[in-house]
Amino acid sequence: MRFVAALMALVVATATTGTAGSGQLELEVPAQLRAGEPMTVTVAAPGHDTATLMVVGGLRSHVATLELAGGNGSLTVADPTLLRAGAVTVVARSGGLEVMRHVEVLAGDATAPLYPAVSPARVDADGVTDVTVLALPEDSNGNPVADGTGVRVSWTGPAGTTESASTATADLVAHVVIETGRLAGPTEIAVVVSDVAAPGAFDVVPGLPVPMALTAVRPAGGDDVIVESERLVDAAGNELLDGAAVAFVIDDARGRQLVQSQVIGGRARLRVPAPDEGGPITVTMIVAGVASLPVTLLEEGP
Amino acid sequence: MPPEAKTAERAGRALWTRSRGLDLPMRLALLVSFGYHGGLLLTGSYRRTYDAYVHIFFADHYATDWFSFFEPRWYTGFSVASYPPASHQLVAMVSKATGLELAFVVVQTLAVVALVIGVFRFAQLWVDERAAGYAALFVAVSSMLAQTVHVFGQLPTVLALAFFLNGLPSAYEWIAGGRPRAFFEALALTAATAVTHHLTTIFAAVCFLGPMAVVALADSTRRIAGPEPKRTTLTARVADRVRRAGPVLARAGVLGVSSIMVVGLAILPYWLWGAEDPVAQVPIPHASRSDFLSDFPAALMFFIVPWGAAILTIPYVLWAAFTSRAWALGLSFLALAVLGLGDTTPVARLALGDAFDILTLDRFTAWAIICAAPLVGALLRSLWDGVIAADIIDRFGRASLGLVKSFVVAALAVPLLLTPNLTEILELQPEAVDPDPIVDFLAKDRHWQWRYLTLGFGDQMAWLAAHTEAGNVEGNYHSARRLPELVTSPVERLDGAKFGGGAGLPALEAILTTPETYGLKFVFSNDEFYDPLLHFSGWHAIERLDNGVMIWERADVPIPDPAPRDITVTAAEWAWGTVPLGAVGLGLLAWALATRHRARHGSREGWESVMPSVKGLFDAVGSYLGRLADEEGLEVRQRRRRDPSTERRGEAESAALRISIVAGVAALGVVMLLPAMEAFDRSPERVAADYWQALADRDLEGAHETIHPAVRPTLEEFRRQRALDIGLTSSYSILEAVQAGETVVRSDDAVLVDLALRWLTPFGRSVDRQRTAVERAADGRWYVVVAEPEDLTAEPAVERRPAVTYVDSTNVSGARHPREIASVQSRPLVDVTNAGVVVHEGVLHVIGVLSNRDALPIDTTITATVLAPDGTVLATTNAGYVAAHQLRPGEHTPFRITFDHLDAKTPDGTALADAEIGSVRVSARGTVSARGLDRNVTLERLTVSSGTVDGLVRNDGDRAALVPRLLVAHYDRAGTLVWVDSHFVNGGLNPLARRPVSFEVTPDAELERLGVPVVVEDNTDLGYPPTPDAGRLRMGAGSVAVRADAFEELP
Repeated sequence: MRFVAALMALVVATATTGTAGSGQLELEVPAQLRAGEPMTVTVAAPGHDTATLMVVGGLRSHVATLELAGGNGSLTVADPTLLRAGAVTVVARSGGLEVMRHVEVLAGDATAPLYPAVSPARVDADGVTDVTVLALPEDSNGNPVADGTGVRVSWTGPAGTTESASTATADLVAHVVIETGRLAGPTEIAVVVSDVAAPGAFDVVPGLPVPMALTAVRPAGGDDVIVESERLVDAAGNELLDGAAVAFVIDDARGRQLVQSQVIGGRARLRVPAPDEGGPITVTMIVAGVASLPVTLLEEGP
Repeated sequence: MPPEAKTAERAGRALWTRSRGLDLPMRLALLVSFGYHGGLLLTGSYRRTYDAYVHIFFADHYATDWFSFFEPRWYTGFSVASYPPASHQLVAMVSKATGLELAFVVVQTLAVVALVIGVFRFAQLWVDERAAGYAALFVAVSSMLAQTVHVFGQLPTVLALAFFLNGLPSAYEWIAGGRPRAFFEALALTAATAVTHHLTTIFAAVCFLGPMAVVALADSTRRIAGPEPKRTTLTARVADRVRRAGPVLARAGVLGVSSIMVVGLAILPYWLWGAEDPVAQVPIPHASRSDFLSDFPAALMFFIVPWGAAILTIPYVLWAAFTSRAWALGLSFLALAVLGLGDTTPVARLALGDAFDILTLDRFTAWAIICAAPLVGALLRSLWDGVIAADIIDRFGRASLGLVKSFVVAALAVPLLLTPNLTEILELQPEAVDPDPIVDFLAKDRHWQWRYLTLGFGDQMAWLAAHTEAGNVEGNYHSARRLPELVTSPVERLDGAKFGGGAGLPALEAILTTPETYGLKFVFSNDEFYDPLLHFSGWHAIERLDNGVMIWERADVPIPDPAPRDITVTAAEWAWGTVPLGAVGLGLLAWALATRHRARHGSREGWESVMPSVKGLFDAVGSYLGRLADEEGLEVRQRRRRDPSTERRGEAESAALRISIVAGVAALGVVMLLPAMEAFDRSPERVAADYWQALADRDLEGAHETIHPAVRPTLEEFRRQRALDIGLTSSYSILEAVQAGETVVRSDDAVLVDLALRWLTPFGRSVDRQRTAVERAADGRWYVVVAEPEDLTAEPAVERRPAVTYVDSTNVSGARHPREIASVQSRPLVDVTNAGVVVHEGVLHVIGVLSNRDALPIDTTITATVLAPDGTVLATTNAGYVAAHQLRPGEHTPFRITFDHLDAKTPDGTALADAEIGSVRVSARGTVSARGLDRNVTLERLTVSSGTVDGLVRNDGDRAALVPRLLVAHYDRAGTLVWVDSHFVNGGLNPLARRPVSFEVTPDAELERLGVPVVVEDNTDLGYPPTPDAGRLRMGAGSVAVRADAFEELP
């Protein structure tokens, strides 16, 4: 294999400096290029009218025939071949000679859209869980930007204070770890790379509720009783989010009734119809596995 | 020319009589084949058949990728080398000019025409030309052919048989006469048969070529080629006969061996596929194998319909065969006819052995009828203008002959006209489904990346498959199935899992429960039967398309890996793409050359005689009508035949015909009378059963008529009452049987009938016991007395009911940021507690409680993996319908994961419940979802007594709760979860309605909790007591927690 590689290198070296007819075949290309930028290729092949140009990229290639005037000609290549960062190989052929050059294609600056990954998107307000913000900045052609590109992450937590941290891309990505507190609420994030900013967010959500009490009220003029919880909060005093599942357990002389409901406005509420039979009615509420103290509704006397 | 060849030439000439063109019967046969069958095909009769779309799908494969074995759209990818390709490739070739559907019509029509010509040629080996024409006409108008083409949609078998029958004269010519040209003609047509349908080649060689070879052999033993010394001993005579038969036997052997080689080589990739990829499949029951005396629908489809009028001729055919040189044909006919009876006799099972459970036996009936065709042709000829006609005229007069002929025409015409409409009359296939909306859906938002499944499409699923690049987890060609869930399922398709007694439901449930295994994300349902199973297995009804099909989607299914395929074309694929059509081309060339040869050598079977010109046809019809009008002419012909020997033959034939008709009618009567007798049963038990059966069939008028006149509401009122009758058994089940139990006699005119209604529900079988009052009315007949159901509906009211709703915009069409990325980035927090392993009734279950610890609603997947002590995986599956899959924030559900399908055994075949288990891993994951969050069903008046929970279930919502479900978690004294069960309430709930429920809690004694370690893999350990004591009902030392939900009315 080494022999073959050496032979290939010799062939390439020979071709690069080879002559075509009465003169040499020369190929001029830029050493570096921004992804997506056009590339100007100049060929000199004295004594020849045409040259074949081949631009070989990682995913595709481009072939063109270049008309030479007085043995010289140039071509501007603006092609999908040049959209991907990495390297392309330019090969020129004329009169049986071949010349090859390598061009490094660099990623451009970071541009929108930028999708920062925030994980987890929701954390309990326990004050110990961290959130990771991950950014993979890309240029307009989808090439990850160069390592070392600066990334700034700012976030505004539930308390309204804004903090920020700076980092740089390494192995294509940049990340920042945010410590959360015991105050529930949304945290807004901004990730800034070069002139591009992208939003992100996570929620600090209330933890398990503390045991709660129920109250029973009979609206004036009605037979039904409204059972309502007090404000449902976790140990840190955060109010439970709307939509959390609630189960009411109602025991009366006829048996047990199970009603599923949800937290609305930080409380849970149940309408208990007037019973057909007499006797006490006991109502208990369960939220996230935590049961309330039962409330007993006694039949009022006449 | 060797002496045998000369003998064979003489014998061959005897087969073909000279004439100036085709007789009218043959012309009519061709007209019916082309005009009637072709016309029906053109109007789309194939669309409701069983197989046409399968063949069109295969044709679409070749039209798309001719030289590839690999077809990715069914069974996660399969090889088309599993089916001989010629007919499909013909359709694919024609489709380049016409499109697939018209191409199928063209090829199928030509196949029918070729088959009729083949029958004509085959019949000429046994009877004269005119009788052969009648034979061809008989087959062309037979209900068998109409059923094969317009009900079964069989193309390859029709085309293959056409090739084979057309090759039989050449085969006979070679065997009897030894002409090399005939040998190659026969071989070419055998190859064409093999590349079209391999089984037809094998069986036809036995059933059609066999009798012919036997006759040739028998003839040869009597034929003396030259001077032979007179033999005096029996041994010497036998030796002479064997010597005479030697060349015939040798030629038959040469043809047989050569045919085997040709069949082997022509479709070599097929044989290699079968040898390399042998997968044992569970036999799929087929009605053609039934006992026709006890299964009337099977008898109708596989005996009455295919035989049709031909059944009247069976005794005649047997008589004619066994009193002539066609005795071998008679034996073949008899064997085929008996094999076609399936389990009605033990013969088929004994003769076919293991193959009995694999083959569909209707083909034997079809072949029997074709075997009989030459003799039926002789009968028709005799009846029309032969000795039977003369005999009838002599005995009963000309009018009687006209009557008999009219009867025969009607007996043939009625089945011919009715049979193609059987698919409509018997509703054998679902209504046509327009595939375009589904195709559009699959093309949208890269839905084609996942796989799909159809339910209730019937054979149209193949038509849908031909329209899309997306893959179906299953397919419509069960021989190519390789997925474990499918090959162990005794149904042809999961699409119709409910049929055949619901034998396919376990496999369907397994696939729906673990959809991620095959990347199954969408189910297109055209049958509401499966809706509850889909719903409770965690699927969401997301959209009803314009064609009425409901799309069900499962959340959190990863995109499957593309099916692996080799993009290089192998030598075998080149051969598969070229040899079959080459063989067909050679076969057609051989047929043309043989026809031309015979035409040149005096046979009247030239192109010009087989393909009637339009003018010739009209001339013949005109001539025939003229002859019918010319009674004198008919008289002359008949008088001419009236010599003593002909007269005796005519009498015998007439007698045979009469016996035949009587026996045929008797046979039909036996099959048809049994169900008819049941209809006359008007006992109280029968009346009660009829009432429930009518309700199950939605035959409201029928049910209404069985109600006692004294309490019978108006039909309008009855309809209104029944419209409110919703629920699992009312709307989503099949009433399989009504069994009468004890009948309590209250008086002479009033009884109580205990009935056990055996339902097939989407979740398996259930028995509903109904005590029905039946009373005699003034007209002396019994009627049911139905009490009006107790009205437990609450008073309607408008009330404020605030609720939190969620808007999920991550899954909208054309979303910029793909949902799967967002979902994986941050999984919702889920928590599994109380997990354990329990064995119940020999089946291993994993139970536990799953909680949504996230602030958003989620869709969950719970997986259990059973590991051996060395860590190898023994089995893995997901929670199915014994769990709630959609959880609101803070909500929890008990779950049970059951290893009762493929997972019931370890890889080495040990029952999982008996295997040595090292540990069980329970993993749960969720994805944010705003679907399925309504909680409108509540429980009230719950009490526990002696292990039974009683109460009421109530629908508080404004949509019907079609199938209420109770999830029951059973805890022991220590608060450990010991069992989880689900109970489907047998009756739905209209808005504000209540319904009593009662169920028994599984006794502890039936449960064995295994002490194996359970490793829980969730993404939070913020566990909390999922069901505090306050939420449970005390039951003995333990307690039960009950959770109610429902499959609600779909929008």
